Amino acid sequence: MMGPEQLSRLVDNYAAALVLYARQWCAAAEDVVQEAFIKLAAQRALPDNVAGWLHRVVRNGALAAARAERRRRHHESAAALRMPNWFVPSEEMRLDAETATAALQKLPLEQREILIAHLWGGLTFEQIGELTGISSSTAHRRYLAGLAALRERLRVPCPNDSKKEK
Amino acid sequence: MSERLEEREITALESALRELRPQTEALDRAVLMYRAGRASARGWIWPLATLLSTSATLVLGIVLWIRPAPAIVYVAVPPVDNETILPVPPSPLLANELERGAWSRYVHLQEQVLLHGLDGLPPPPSATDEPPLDAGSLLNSL
Repeated sequence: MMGPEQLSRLVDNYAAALVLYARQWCAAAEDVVQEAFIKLAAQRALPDNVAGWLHRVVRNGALAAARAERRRRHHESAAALRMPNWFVPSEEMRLDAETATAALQKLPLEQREILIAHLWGGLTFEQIGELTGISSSTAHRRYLAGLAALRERLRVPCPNDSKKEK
Repeated sequence: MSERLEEREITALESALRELRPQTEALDRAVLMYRAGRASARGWIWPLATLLSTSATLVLGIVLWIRPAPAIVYVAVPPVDNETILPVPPSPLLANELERGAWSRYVHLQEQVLLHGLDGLPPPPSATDEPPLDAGSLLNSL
């Protein structure tokens, strides 16, 4: 049985990444993540791979929520894409939150999901492969393709280049 | 050369993306912790106990509902004949007294009182003639 401290630590570590992950499919991402943590708390024993387990539950919950949203609205426009910002705006960051959100939203879902699960969720490509039903090499290939597409859109300067400029 | 540059750019992009913090404004942490606490405390003992008691109540209710009413049995009681009533034998203590004759004296005295009233009582012994009786002698006179 999981204690409140352990649950609190897991929420700190994974909640934000899971909300971002769930936004790929549905608008009520926070509700989906909350339900996932409640399911985790109800488990008798903690899963071996908590991050993978949480991502799987959130993915299933988000897909179900997306189906329910589609039924309600009777049109296919992705609610997730209407979200103004997926990230907290901050001037300290090298990337603008709004620009990054827009660039990510333009990626195909199969690439975006892998990028988010790896970069913010901290999942390995093997875990992502298990989660999405593809091989780890395919997951890695899609990840690189997604990054290449983002590089074109975001044009992040290399740290060495900025040093040279200085 | 260009491959290395591309690799560096990819690495820089990865670190820049990782810096971004996902929005979690709508995630109410207090509500989450509360609901998770409730979910973790929810065991199987109480639901099982509720299920068992509810099913027992239903079964007993059904049994009570379909059970036939108990039949009333009328038993004929024979009339009481006064002649058949046997005299109650005297208790062993009374029988002992009767043997000693005291009982017959008492009965005789009772009959005298019933026939003649208090006048039928024999004259009490005079206080001057005899000394007053103590408890022991009174008991012995019985």
